[in-house]
Amino acid sequence: MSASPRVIDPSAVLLRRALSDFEVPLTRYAVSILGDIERSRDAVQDTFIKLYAQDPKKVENKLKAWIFTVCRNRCYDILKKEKRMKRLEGDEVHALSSSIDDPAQSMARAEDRAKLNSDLRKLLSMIEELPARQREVMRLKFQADLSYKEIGETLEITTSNVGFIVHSAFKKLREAMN
Amino acid sequence: MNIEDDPKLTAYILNELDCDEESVIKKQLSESEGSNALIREAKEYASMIREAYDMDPAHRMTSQQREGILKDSEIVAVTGTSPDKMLSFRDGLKSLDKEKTEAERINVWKKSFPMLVSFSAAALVIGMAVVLLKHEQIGAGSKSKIAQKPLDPFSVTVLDSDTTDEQGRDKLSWVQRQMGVGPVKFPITYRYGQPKPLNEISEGLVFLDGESFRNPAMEGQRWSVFPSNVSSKSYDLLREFMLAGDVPDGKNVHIGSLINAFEYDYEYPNSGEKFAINAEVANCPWDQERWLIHIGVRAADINKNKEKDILLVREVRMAVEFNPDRVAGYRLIGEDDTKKFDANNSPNQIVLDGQAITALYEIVPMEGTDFSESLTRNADSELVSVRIDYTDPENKDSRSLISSISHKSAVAWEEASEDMRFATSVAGYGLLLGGYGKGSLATYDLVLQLAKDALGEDKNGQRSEFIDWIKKTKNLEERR
Repeated sequence: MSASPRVIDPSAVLLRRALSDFEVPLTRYAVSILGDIERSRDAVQDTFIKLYAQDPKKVENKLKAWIFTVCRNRCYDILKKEKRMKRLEGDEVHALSSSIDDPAQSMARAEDRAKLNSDLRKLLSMIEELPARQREVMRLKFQADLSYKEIGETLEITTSNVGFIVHSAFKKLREAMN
Repeated sequence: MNIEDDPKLTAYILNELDCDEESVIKKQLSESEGSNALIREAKEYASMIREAYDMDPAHRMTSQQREGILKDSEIVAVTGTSPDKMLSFRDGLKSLDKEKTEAERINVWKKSFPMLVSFSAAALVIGMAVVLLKHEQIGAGSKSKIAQKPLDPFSVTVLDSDTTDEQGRDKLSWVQRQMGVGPVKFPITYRYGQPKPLNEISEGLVFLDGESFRNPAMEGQRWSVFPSNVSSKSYDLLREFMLAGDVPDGKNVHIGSLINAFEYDYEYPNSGEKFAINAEVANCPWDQERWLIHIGVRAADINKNKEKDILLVREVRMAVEFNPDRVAGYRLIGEDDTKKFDANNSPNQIVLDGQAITALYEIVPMEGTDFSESLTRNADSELVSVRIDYTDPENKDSRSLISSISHKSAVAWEEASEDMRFATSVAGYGLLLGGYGKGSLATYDLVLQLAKDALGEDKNGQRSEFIDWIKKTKNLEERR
């Protein structure tokens, strides 16, 4: 080289990669749990700050699962802190959170959705009707593009359980569409 | 059992199966009538679901939050990924002609290409591509324009081109990356004809002299992706031990990273280009039946005159296609290279500003491929081609760079460049250290001989230091 060996901060490299790859899907995911954008942004910000503090060697091989797990925990911490979370089973948490949507947000979303063709609209409403657990798994699979294994690590369930949940939800949607 | 009720089928559609499971499902499907239509339809549904989800607004943090994080990590923000650009991009989508979008949608679905972003995004980007990119085609066997670089001394042809046929896909994957979703697709083209379907027994491996090599004639083995190896951990470990007068356990030294921890005098790319590919081929010093292919990639030093030395080029994939008519088997030295090439799942590499990346392949040439053979220059005479796909850090274009190496350029290792001899020496040293050199002609004396006359400019003294290490290691090993 023309230059001496470069000093690289692997944490910074990892953070940059994570930001560019996961910021949007992570924020969307947080919104799906928390229901509003402001708190979701905070949860995502906390997640990335926490990531930077990690030893990159320990997280880089399971980055996606790590990030979604931390963000998810952060979201539920926020819910707990604000005492909005009653003692509910995990399944019902989702149903609760979707009711605390910011009205402006849901209006904007409704406007967006009005533009969709009828099939997609129908599909979306069917996804909304899935049980909460299926909905969360589907979102992680189809929106955030996590693998079964990563979803399993995030939600602390087995990979084959993930496969089963995706299969049931997917099958249900297909049948309903037909 | 009705195969439709099997969660494995869904897993198959979503690319979640490992190779073994996949072949079982494929077999089941081949025995079941109408299964192709079923799979196609299911994949369309998967695409639709993704598309539906993609209608969620592209939520992000505020720019203040993001800058706060980046500031914490002392990285300079890159404007190209700023949310403003994203927003204008999405706004652009809305103005697209609806009918056209619909046509695109049907068309792409017919190809059952899994879509992770909205199709209107694809249409827009293809539209942009017309403005931004040249219209060169790379296809199997097609010859693109031979560009800029001189052919000698290593007979490397640079076929500089943007992918048009795959352009839509390239662009699409770029959008996917920008939107933060989906794995990157590696557009597959074969310069040397279609590979044969995998034989389940051999897994595309070929056994030569009792060792296994990847067989480029087989599907999944034609391409090999090589990593950028930015970590200097193995080098640091070796150095620590050497300074302490000891030899580390070779199993803890990653040969690929060790090779890459040294600096090489690879040519820098021409201005405007982001990468230069240097490549050469010579016979293997420790096995006369085999050859070594030395690939040296140099990334442009974009920020040479700027204060910060930042990570600039990302989303890079460097891969080699082997010509099965010339190469009977190959392996990437110093890497765990047992995994089959997976077009949908090869990780992005991070390449640093000005970085030199080195890959050494050990190949077994086909019988009849030798130094003296003289053929006219065409794809038949190529041993391998090297391909780099990347996202231009400045204008976010997806670009591809291809170079090929003719087997005619093979030389005796004594005549190889200093860079190649030095890299070979490090590789040989690593093999000996890890106890992999048994049965070959590799000795510390041989690696010393390789390195000794390969000092080059050695600006930082690394190479001389390494030569001392070889001598030290030899002495220490002899005393054991």
